[in-house]
Amino acid sequence: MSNARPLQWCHYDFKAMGSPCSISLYAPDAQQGANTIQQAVADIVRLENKFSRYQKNNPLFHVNQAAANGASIAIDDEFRSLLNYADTCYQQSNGLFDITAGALRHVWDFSSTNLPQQSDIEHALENVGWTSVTVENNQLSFGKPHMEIDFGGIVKEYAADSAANICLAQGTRHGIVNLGGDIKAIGPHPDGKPWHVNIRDPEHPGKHMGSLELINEGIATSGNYERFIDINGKRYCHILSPKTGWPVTGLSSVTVKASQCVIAGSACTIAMLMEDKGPDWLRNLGVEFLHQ
Amino acid sequence: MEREPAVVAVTNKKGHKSEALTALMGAALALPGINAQAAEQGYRSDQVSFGYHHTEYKESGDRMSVTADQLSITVPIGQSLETNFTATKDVTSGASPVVNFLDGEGKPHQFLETGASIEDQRDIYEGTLSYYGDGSLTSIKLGTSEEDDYESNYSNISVKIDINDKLTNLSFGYGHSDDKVWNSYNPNVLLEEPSIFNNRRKDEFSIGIGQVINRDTILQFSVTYVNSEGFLSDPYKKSVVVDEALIYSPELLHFLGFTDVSDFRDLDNPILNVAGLFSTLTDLGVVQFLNDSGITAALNKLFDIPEISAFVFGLEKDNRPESRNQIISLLRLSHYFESTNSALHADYRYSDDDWGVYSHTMELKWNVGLGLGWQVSPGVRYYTQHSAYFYDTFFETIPEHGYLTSDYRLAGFGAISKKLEISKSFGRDFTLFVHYEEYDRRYDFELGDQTNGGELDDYTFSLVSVSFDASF
Repeated sequence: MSNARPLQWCHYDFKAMGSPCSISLYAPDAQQGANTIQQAVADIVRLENKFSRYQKNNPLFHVNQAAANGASIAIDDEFRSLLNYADTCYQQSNGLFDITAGALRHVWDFSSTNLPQQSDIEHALENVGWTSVTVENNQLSFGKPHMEIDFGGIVKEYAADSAANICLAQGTRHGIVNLGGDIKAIGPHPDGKPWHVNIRDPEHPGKHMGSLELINEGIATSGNYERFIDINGKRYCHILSPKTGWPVTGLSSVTVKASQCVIAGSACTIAMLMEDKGPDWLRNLGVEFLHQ
Repeated sequence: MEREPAVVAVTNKKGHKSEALTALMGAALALPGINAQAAEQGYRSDQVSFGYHHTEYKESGDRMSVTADQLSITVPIGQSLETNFTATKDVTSGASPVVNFLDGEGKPHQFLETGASIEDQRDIYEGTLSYYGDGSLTSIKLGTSEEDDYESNYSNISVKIDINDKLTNLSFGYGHSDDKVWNSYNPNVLLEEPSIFNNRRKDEFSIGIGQVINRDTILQFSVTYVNSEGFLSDPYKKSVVVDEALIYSPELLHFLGFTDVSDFRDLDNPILNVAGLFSTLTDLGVVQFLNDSGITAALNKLFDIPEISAFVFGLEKDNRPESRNQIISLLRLSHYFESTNSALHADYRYSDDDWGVYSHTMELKWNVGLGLGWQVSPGVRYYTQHSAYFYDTFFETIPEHGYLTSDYRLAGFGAISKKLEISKSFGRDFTLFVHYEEYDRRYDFELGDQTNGGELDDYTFSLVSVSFDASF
């Protein structure tokens, strides 16, 4: 017979991608669980080092240097497939999900209490536009200078999926990866029950706005409570519309469940960008979601 | 714009996939961290790993001791294949019981192999190819085992399939072996039998199910059917049959001047104490002298010593049916105790065959993780066996069915073993194991009514095994 043994619950808390993270899984023994978690965390750190906007001399930094100069740069397969994914999001959201909206970050300072000048916003909008970007084979070219790429809504979610896949490849059949609320489950609990995830209510701390059940699936949340500017009682969300250059309004928080965390992440970001039409768009998309 | 004040939970459970979702899923599945290939890797390790195992086994008295060394290497090939090669060499020395001579009162006494120094080497080579599918594991194994008087070529295939969200696994196995058996003949050793060559064949079918009961408990059940055909006797072993012994025959006893000759056991005559005579000759070194001086070899050229001794002392060759059908069932319950970071395995095994040998095995093993890579596993096992219908320590007469054996392995007995295994992991890639076992076999440990067996086959052994596994 197989060497099936009772499984041991292994849990590890860590900080990555600017968020509190955790990996929990059931393993045949603590040693094996620790090995698996170690490999998953190593991959999360690898992706953070590769795609962080706060690090210099990483691949994203070099790409954004090329973007600033309207130049061309060689990228690896993983970078190219993430750009391809971002392109799909752009197509499916009628251009609302645009990773080149990173150029707007220069005018929106979320640590200040002042709104930017409309003229500065309009000037920055000229540097936004996914259609000015071309990817041919593994060569990424920017059609104009002063552009910037921002993988928000993709990379952290992709890291959760990738970490979960590493756990799966290491033999884990029951586990959950949580990167600051971007969650991907590996199977159900060993007794077959789904993972039960409560979604915090950002408006009422300590309360839940609902819960979702996961088996192998991912969830992600996007909301204006994460980073915002409060000016005269009005909250300006960190999600910026590539059409207007202004923070989106309409929804304060959206949580989406999908087969992959990266899909949930981009879907909730798109829903936020759709503002009042977000819930309808998610309904048509065919995913489970919660919104506020 | 005002925020929506109320919390609204909206779900879509229609399960319909929009074009947009299909597009997003397609693009997501093209991401290297998500692609299906990674998910299909299954349990396979992507490291080359080596293992070395050394085992020392020693039975009590002058019985066998075995030293075994094993080297194994596991190499992954591509995404879902893995090969494993294992080479094992074991050296057996000492003696194994050959015959039970009777003393003057008709009680059997056991004599171990009379060879001067017996050393048997066995070489085993095995290759396994495993395929890790999505929720399945298929393995094919080919092996060969060779020793001085035995050769076995075997193969088996096993399939394990996870179903029910991996909460249930099913396993199927088939094994086949073709064996050649003979006895190595040493003309320098008294009572050795000239060589015979024979074949045996074994087919084994197994089916099993494993079920996760809850987070901490797993139940497993398997049934194995084994069919063996061919020469299943032991070419070295003999039984004493009183009626066949010239020395115990009423005619001879009468000739020697005994009047009441109905049973030699009533005569209390030292001449009839073959066991005593043989042990005296052995103790005095006469048997050893005959062997070492070449007298045995010379006598072996003149007479057929085994034939003559068989005629005089009633020694009959071990003779077993040419077919054996066994059913073995195993029930295993494993439970993990979170509070003590330990796992208890409780096994019950029942085996039955058409030789009348049935057995119960109960085993408890407790794996306790102590932290810092230390694991301690104490265990205890009880085994009880009913004797084969053609087994006895000696025979009055040849049974009607013609089969007879005095092989202690087919006797009625019980056995208790106590085990302790300690392992220590150094880092993630190196683990050292030490295994110690004490085994006590006694004929009166048998559960229920005593069946044929005797205290002359009681023995104990201890076993120490040291091994390590390393991954690179």
